[in-house]
Amino acid sequence: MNYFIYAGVFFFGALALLIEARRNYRESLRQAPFKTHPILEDAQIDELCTPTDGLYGFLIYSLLYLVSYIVILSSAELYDLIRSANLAKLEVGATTDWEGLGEDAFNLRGTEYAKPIFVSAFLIAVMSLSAMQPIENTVRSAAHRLAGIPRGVYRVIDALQTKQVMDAMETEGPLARHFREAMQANNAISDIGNYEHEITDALRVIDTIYPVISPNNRSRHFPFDEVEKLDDMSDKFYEEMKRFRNKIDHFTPTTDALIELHNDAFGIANDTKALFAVHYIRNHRSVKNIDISPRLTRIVTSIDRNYNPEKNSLAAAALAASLVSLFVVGALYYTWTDNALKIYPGSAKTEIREEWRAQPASIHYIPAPDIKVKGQDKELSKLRDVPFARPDECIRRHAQGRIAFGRQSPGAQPTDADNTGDQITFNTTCAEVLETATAQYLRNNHNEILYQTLWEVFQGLLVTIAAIGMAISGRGARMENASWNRNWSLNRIPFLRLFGACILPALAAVIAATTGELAKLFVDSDFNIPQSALVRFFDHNMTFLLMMMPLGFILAFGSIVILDRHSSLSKELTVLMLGGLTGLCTVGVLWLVIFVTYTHGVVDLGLFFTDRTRDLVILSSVPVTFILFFAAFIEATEEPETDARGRPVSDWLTVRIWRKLTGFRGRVVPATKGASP
Amino acid sequence: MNVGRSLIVLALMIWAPLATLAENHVTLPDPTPQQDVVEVEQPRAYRLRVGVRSQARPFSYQSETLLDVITAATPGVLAKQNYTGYIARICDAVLNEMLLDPRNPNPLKATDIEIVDVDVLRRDDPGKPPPRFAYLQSNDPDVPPVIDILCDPATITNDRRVGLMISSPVYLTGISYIVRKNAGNRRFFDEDFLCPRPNGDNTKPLFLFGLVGNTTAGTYGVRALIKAQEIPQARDALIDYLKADSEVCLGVGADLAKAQNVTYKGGVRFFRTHAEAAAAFCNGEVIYYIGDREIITAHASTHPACDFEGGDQTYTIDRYAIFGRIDYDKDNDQAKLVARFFEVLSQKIVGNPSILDQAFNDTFSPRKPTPSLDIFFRAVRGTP
Repeated sequence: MNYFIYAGVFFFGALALLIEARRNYRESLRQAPFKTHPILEDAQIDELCTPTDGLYGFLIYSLLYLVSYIVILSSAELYDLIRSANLAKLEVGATTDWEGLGEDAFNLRGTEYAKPIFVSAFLIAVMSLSAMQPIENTVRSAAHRLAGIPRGVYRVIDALQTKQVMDAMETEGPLARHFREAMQANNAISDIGNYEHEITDALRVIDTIYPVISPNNRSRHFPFDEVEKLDDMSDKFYEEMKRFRNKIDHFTPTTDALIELHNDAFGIANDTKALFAVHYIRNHRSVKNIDISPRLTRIVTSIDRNYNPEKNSLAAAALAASLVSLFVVGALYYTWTDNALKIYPGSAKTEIREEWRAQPASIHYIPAPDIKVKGQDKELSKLRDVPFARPDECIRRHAQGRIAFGRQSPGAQPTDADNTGDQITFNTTCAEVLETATAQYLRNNHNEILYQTLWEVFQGLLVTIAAIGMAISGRGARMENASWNRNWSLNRIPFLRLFGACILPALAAVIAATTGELAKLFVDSDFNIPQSALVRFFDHNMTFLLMMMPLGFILAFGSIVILDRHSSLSKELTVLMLGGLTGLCTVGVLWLVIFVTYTHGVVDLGLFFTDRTRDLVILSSVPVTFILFFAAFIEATEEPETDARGRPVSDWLTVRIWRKLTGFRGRVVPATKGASP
Repeated sequence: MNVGRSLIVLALMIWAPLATLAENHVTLPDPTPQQDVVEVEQPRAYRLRVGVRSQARPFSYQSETLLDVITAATPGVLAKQNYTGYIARICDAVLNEMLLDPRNPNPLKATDIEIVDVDVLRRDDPGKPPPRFAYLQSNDPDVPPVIDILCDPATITNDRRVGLMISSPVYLTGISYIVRKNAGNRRFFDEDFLCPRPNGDNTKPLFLFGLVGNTTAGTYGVRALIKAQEIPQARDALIDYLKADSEVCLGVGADLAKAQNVTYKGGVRFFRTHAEAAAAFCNGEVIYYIGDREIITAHASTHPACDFEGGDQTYTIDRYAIFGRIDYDKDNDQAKLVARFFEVLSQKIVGNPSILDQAFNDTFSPRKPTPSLDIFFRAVRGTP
């Protein structure tokens, strides 16, 4: 295979993907994503973003295509490499590639050149399948979001509908007052009945928000929205407002007119929120110069606070889980190494030799009659030029159980030969040297233990964040597309939908684990991985890496359930039941991983844990603490509930039970939950 | 009548002294020492000497059982002494055909062929054993070489072409290495392996590499491993080994190596045979065992519970051939037989079925040739 030709074919495969990505992306820009809001129904995405935003979005979108291309192509090449290596075990002869007789190195018949084109074509074909639409949507949403293209409108609109925000709206603004006065003038109050409250609420929303999006004021509050379409929409909205005001002025109390007014009020209130949401997002999620309006400040603060609690919880959980896991894993490694040294001090051979050298000269001349070199009829005690005979003999005697040190002292079983004068001195010195040298070894290897600890935590974080992050991302994208319903009940769990949402995170966990392990191999081999090492790596680790799939699946499932259901459960139930169950399942899967992949015998150093238990704790440390912290932080960032009188109600189950039992603060009424992700 | 008698008497009188004179001449002592004449005129005990290996699995080796030897083919002189393997089978088939050759006015008999085990010669050599190709040559013009034909996995090199007859290539393989399972981890190489180290109970030295001395693995095989950036952790040790002024080793490991009369250079230990090398590898005395792919894996596999990995990739391209020596000036009969051997060999290689296929199937079945070897076979025999 000629590598230059391969690079060329790889380039053409990538180019084909970029062309397809560009086509898809342009198509997506022509969509009108906000059809449910009349003011935005004709607005295409490309009209709501600047050309720079569009280009930025395309770069991110195409980058995601290219990453998929590289991941799949690398997998195909790795598969080919491993397959060839395994086939070679069943074959004999040279394996080195050599061009066949008369073969032209530049012809493209070689199948190895076909892979990039095949992978590229496969991706293009697969991404156009309707079954892959959710994935494509996720990818596109992620690109849009990263590029600042306004796809988070629904989220902001949701935030504007929360009770906290509604409470912050004007009690009676100019439009609401105008409506009341018009109704009073027409003596229509009694005719409109219950509609009055609903229309008034809608008008309160308009009264509060309209001032910042009106054509005259919006540039002051949204200075960064350099999009022409927003000017048109703002003007169009202004015209609608005028028409609506006219309708109020000329209202006649008939049923049809009442229904029409009610519908118009709701439509314009929705449009107000949608237009505000688009302005808000286009303005880097901010509203400027609203200090003079405390109500608007409260509303914007409320929207900001509701923005992405799940991602903030993810970050906080990552930090907390890292700290806890660093402590747990580090302590385990240190304890294990310390105890292993007590049993096998030979690992500290260098330190033992150095320590022995520092002993008084008389110790060096104590005969060690046991030592003989095979084929050499001389005692080592006489071989002054053999430098390490005595410290090595010391290690050997320890291995024979004749010398003990540290906590092992009662376990020594000296032979008769050890009880002579010289040998007692030798053995005593030996025990002291072993004690000092192993302590020194531990000090010298702090970096090694730290490196291993950091690595284990990093690898755990990589897998956990990949799985949970992908689950949150996918869920968020589907929520923005209004295709995710989180109001399901625990007795009717939508397993199919949840399982579908967990497939990609499970794959992401495998890719993350593989990437992490390869990175370690890369570092350990001084940034130069030979092909055979790569083959051996996958031969040894394939099962382990594939078993990260169920781990990723469970973590994703647990995190989605926590996100969807935490608002209807108390803090304890969310953390202990949802988080705890997920943690238990994680430990179960990792136990299975160890059970399947560990083929060597159990190593028992006499501690309260074996090597398998140690590794189970190390492997599960990050994911378990992560999911527990994640649940806790999600609960912590939840808006407080309020009772019927507007007072905050505790979300702690224990507090509720206590209050129920004692009657303190009276009856706890079912409350409306605050905004939740 | 009288004239006739007179002529007869005259004739007798002339013949008698001449005959006497002639008789006296024959009995004159020869000035040449009698012993030398006897040595020159004494016929050779063997007309053809074939060198084989007893420890070069799976190409040329002496099997302990007949299981490896017996095939559908008629057993020849080598098979009857349990010599078998891919190259040995090829030689055996050629020798069989030579024995049955009706066109030879002085037919070759089985008793005319001497089987010389080169591994045994090298093993029993009290000094430093010579390279096995030395047995095809003789430094003394009056003393014939030890062997006429070398039937073993011998790689074609430029040096080996000189003064020898070479068959067409009969096999394609390369240098590879194997390592004991889990021996290649990072921590292991943090220690200095430029010299032997004491191993375990301090009775045997531990080396980073082991290979059979005087093979191609020792020089350009190691270079190929460095070039392919294989075993990057041991790169320094390999380069140090290739240096002419490799560091002199001191310390316990070196003392143990000296005590055991081990031949080594830097962190590389040399063995006389692959059997010795494989035994040391499986006993944990060397970490990496370098050599021709099939040979190292076959020998390591003969040791029970010797778990190893690697050996599934080659880093050089080596062509094996059968080497012979022809000296028409000194020994015409030997030269004719060796020439006839290579003549029959070339016929059997391009024949259908080819001797290469037969030997391959008998030796390696059910394993298959790698794509490279398959292409090589097609090219050599000229048929798909």
